[in-house]
Amino acid sequence: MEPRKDFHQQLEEMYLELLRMSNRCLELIDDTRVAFLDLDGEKAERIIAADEEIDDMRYSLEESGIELIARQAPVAVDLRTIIVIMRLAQHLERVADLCVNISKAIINLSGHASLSSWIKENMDEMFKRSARMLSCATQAFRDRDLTLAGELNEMDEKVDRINRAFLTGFDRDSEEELELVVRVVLISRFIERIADHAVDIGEHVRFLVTGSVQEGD
Amino acid sequence: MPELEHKMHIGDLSLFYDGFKALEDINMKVYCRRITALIGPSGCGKSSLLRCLNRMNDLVEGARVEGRIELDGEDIYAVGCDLTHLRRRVGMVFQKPNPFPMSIFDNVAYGPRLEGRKGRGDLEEIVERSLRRAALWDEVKDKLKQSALALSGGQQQRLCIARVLAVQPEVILLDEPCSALDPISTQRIEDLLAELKDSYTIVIVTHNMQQAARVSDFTAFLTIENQGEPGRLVEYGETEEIFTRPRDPRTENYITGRFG
Amino acid sequence: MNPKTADRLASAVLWMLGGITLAALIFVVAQILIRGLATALNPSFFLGRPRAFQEGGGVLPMLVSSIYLAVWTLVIALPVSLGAAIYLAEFARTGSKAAAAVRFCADSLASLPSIVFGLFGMTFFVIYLRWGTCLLAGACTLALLNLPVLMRSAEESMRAVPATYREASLGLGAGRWRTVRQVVIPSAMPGILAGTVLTVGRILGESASLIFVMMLVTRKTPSFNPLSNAAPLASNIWYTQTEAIIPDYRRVVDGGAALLLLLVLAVNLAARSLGKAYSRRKGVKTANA
Repeated sequence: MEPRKDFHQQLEEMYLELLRMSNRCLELIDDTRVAFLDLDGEKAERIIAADEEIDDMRYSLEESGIELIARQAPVAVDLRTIIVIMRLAQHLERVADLCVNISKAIINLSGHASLSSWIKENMDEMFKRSARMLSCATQAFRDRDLTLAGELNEMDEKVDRINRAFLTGFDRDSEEELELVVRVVLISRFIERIADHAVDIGEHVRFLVTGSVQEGD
Repeated sequence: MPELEHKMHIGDLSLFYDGFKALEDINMKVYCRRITALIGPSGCGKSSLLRCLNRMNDLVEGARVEGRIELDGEDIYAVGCDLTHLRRRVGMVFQKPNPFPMSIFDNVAYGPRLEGRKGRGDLEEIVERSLRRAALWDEVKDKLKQSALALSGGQQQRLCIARVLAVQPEVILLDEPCSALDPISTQRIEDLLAELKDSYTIVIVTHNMQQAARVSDFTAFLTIENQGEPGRLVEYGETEEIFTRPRDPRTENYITGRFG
Repeated sequence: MNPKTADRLASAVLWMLGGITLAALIFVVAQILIRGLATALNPSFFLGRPRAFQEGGGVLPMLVSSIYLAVWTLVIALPVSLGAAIYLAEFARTGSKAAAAVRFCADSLASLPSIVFGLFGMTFFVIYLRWGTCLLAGACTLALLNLPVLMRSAEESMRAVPATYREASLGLGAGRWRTVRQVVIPSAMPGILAGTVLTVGRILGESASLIFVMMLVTRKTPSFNPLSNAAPLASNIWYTQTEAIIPDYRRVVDGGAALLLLLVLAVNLAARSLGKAYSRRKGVKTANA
């Protein structure tokens, strides 16, 4: 019998649960993107309800992690894996919360007529980019790929640029209403924070692979 | 590795038992006033290595050593090295507590008497000091004349430590000292080692990895690749590093329990 | 048959065998004591002088001879056998041919009949060395006879001392000899004592080989001179039974036998309590303290 079978099995389950959680978050981001583009209030409501599922996944991973640490005294890569999984769960939970925030803003916007194509294009771009960042971060975690994790910073730059463009790009005397503009800027900010979480996840992957807490150790 | 003073230096050490190579090319420094743990799977030679440090292997017929082991710069395997003196400087505590079939007092006084101390007052002082240092004085001060065999396992082991302390060693070697003890006694001995580290250089062989992780400052991992091959030193470093990010995959496999 | 029945059957058989042995022992002892106890305990018997052809003789000189003989034999045999045992157990290398030879000789000697030793003793000590028949010659002969037993039991006892004691002592910087003296021998003492008691029993019981070849069978007065002739009690019993012309020879024989028995018992008991006292003092863990 393989030594410590139970322990490694439990670790494996935590690992798979985290990947499931990540996939769920990606789905959620995509749903939010569609809800925004269509200004679909009902879809937004469903997204808010789905957050609970993600919260539960996070708590379950935290509990499993704590139990494994207490009972199995993991060391080296096992210890780092458990710690990283628990941290990633936190980040993914925040990502889901951000989707909830975006959805609330969408609900408030749904009374309005529609969005200009400029807004739609750029927001679509932002959603897709940050989703891809999260997907890359998860893949870097799954494959222990430091290079991929390193690319996240660059990708984040691009998302930041679009975000800034929103801040400065609105014409003073454009046709859009003020309220619309404010909410769009807010949503843009939320998406930018999703991207930041993806960057943080990349940081944790570096810790997982190298074992050093600080960069350049 | 840190810029610490080293007490012992093991250089290109190989150990043979009747032609069979048990250890190959061991190179490491044992640092002053630190606890160094030797870990590894059964049969990897960690106990054999420990016994080289005070030449207890000389007692095994057919044992032969190549290379050098320096204590404060002098090779202990050099011709003319005084074994008696060496074994007082480098003391040993064994796996199973082995107090002599004598009184507690006589057990601790055994070493000093060997050195020629005879005065009653002198011996009493040494015995008390050693028993205090071994955290056993309070428990036995009223029954020093009683047989040592009447003590519990954990007490006996602390008595063995006191016995070693009585000859004022510089290095203390411990060969799986807690493996025959219950968890509470184990904890007490671990606490004792942490105290003793201030004054003595300690090397401990343990098959309990959590103990190595808890107690030691430096950890050396030894292993054999296949049956019949000699034990080799795979990795040696600060315990914190070994247990959070070991450099060699063999070390990682062993400490995470994936060693099949 | 099922295990339970087999168990019961085995128990019954073993009990029976034990019972038979015990019964036999009791029978013999009872016989001896019934016939001779009264005589043996009579002071005029064990303190009295023997008579050549009259009634009422005692066995004092013989008693003295036996005890004295035992003492002398041990004085000669113990150091030699202990020394050899220490060599075999502690200092010989495993596989040493010399050690194997010593053991082989000892084992061979152990199975020789005592009469052979007697003959040797006569030829060598009495005739060749011209000591003449005397207690010393007897003691030397008996020492040779008992050397193997003493040596082997001492060696076994020392081997039984756990290696950890030696390791601990050596680890503290003691030399080999120091370790043997202060740790191994005290631990092995109960076994050594047991061997010694066994030997005393054998010494007291030696009769044929002694009379037949070297010593007198009766004395008028007790003597403490090892170079003079001696008459051990066992031998005297034989003589009295077969050759004596005193009318109460039966009484003397039975009394002598009972006295010997009591003597052996006394030695056994003394050795046991000595062993116990020693253990208690040293705190030694023994198998049957």
